[in-house]
Amino acid sequence: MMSEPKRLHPVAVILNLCHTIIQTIKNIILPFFFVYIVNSNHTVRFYGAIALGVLFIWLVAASIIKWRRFTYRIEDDEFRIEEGLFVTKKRYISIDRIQTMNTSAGLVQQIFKLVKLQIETAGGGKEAEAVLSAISVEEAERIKEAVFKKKAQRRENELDEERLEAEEELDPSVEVQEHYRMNAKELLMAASTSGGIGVIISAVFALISQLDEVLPMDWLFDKFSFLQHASIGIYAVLIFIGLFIAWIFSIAGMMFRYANFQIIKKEQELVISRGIIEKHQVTIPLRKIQAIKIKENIIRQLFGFVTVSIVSAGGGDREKEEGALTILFPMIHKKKLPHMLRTFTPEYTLEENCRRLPRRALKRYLFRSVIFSLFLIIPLCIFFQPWGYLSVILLPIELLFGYLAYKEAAWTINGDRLQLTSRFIGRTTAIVLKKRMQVCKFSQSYFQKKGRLYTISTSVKSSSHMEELTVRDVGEEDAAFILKWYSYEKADG
Amino acid sequence: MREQPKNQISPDGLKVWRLQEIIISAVCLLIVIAVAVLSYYFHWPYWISGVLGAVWLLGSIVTVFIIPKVRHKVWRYEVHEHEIDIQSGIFVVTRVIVPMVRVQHVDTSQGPLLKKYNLATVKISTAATVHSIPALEMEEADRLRDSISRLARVTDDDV
Repeated sequence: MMSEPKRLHPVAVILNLCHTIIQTIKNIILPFFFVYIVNSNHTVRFYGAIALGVLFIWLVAASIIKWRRFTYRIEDDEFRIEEGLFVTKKRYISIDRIQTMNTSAGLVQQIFKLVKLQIETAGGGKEAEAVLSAISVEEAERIKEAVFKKKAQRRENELDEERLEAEEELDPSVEVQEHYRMNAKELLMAASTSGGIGVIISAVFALISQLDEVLPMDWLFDKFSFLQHASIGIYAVLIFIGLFIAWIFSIAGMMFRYANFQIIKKEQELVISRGIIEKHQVTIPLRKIQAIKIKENIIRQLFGFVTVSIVSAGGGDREKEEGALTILFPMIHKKKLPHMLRTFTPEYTLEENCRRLPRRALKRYLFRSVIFSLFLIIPLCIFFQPWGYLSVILLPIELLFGYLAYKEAAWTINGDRLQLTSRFIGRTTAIVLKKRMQVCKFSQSYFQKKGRLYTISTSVKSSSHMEELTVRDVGEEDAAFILKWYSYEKADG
Repeated sequence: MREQPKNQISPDGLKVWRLQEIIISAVCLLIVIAVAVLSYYFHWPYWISGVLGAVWLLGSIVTVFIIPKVRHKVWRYEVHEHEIDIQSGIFVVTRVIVPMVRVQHVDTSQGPLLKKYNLATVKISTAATVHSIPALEMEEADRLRDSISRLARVTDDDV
C-alpha cells in the first residue's frame, strides 16, 4: 500500500535549487550589484565572492534538506504531505475532496523520465493544492490509481444504489476502453485556422514599440525613407507579408501545442494528453463533466470542422486559452463528431433535429445586429463625408450575420439532456444535463413581451468562472415547455 | 408560461429602496452644487450647471419614483417544495428557477437601512450562481432561510 511516507525523486533537489536560486537572485541582485560594479575595492570584492560562495552552498544544502523533509503518503483516506525546512508543515487533503490530478513534464523532468503531479481540489486559487515536482511516471500512475480506487470504495460504502456502478468502474478488465489520436490533417487544420494569429500580431506590435526605445530607430527610418514616397500598394504588400509571417508563426505554435494530442478513455475517466516540448496530461472523471461545448468559427465551418471542449468542475488544464474549458477534440470533422461523442462522453450526444426559433424572432435578431453600429455609422456619414459613407458597407454584413444567428439558433430536449445552439460570429452548441443545470433563467424585455419571446439561459458550474449558456428569442410556448421540463415540481402534478 | 410566483416583497422594502436612491441622489446633488459654485468663481459658461441640474432632476425622478415602484411590482418569489421561483427586473423581467437540490447554502444579511425597518435579504447560493430575495420581513427571512436549508438536502456530491 501507499501508507508509508515516500520522498520525491532526487532530481527534485535540482528543481528546488533552480527555484530558490531564481528567488534569491531576485532578492539580492541590488546588494550584489553594489558590491561588484560600484565598488572597485579588491578586498570588498573578495569578501563579496566568499559571501556569494557561502550563500550558494547554503542554497544547495537547503535544497537537499527540503527534499529530505518532503514526504507524501496516502493514509486514512487522506493524501498527506509533510514538508518544511525549520517549520514542519503538514497538509492533509481528504481524498473525497480531490477533483483532478494532472501530470506535466518540463525539460528537466523529461530528461530523467519523470513527471510533475499536481493534485487539485475544488477550492479556488491558481496554485494546485499539492505539487509533487518530480516523481517517476509509474509512481504517478500508482498514486492516481490509489486515489481513484479509494474514492470509488468510499462511494460504494456511502451509496448503496451506486454500488453496482462502482463495481463496474473497478472492473480491471476494462482498463483502456477507447483511444483517440488526432491525425495530421486535423492538426494542420486546427493550426491554420486558429485565432492565435491575433495574439501574435499584437505581440509583434508590442515588441516593435519596445524596440523603438532601445534601438536608434531614426537611423532605420532614414534607411527606409523611400517608403514615405511609396504608394499604398507597397504598404499593402508589406502588411500582407507581415500578416502571412504572423500566420506561419501561429501555425507553428499551435502545432507544438496540439502535437501528439490523444485521449484515452479508462474506466470512468478521460485522460487527455498533448504537447512535444512540454507534455501536458489532464485526467477528467466523466462524472465531473458539467457541459460539452462545440464551437465552429466561420472558416472552420466552411471546411466542416468543429472544436469540442469540456466544462468541468474543479481542476482541469489550467493554462488553456479559453478560460475554464478543457479541449476535448481540438479539431474534428462534423461527420465523425456524433460517433466520437457517443464513444467518449456517452451521456452527451449530439441531436440532429432541433427546434428552430419562430419567425417573429427574426426582426429582433436583425435589429440587434445593426443597432450598435448605427450609432457609429450615422455620425461617420454626417461628419466624415465622403469617406464616412464607406462605413455603410458594414450594414449588409451585419444583417447577414444577424440573419445567420436567427437561422442557426436552436434548442432541443432529449430525455434529461438540453442542447442549445447560438451564433454570434462563430457558432456554439452546448449540451448539458438537467442535473448539471444549476439554475434555469427565463427573461423577457419589454419588446420581447410584445413578440411573445423569451431568452432562456442556464448556468453550470465551472472551475474558475460562471459558465452561462443562452439562446435568445425562443417562442413563448417553447419557453413554457422548457420550464415545465426543468421544473422539479411536476412530480406533484 | 406558468403563472407568476405568489409572494411580493414587503411594502417597507419599497421604502428602503426609495431611501437608498434618495441618499445617492443627495450625493449627486452635492456634486452638481459644487460644479455650480466652481463655475461661478471660474466664469465657466452657465449652461454646464444648467444641463447638470436638469440631468440630476430627471435622473432623480426616474431613480427615486419610477424604478423602485416598477421593481417592487415585478419582484415576486415563491418557495415550492422542490424549487424556488424568483421573478425580478425592471425593463427585462427575469424568471429564475432554482432547484432545491442545487442549493449549496442560504444566507440572510441586513444593512443599517434594512435593519431600521426590520427587514433582511435572503441570499441563495448554488455552485455557480447567487440569487437574492431582497427586503423580506426579518421573521419571514429567517423562516425562509431555515426552510430552504432544510429542503436543500445534499443529494448530489458532484455539484
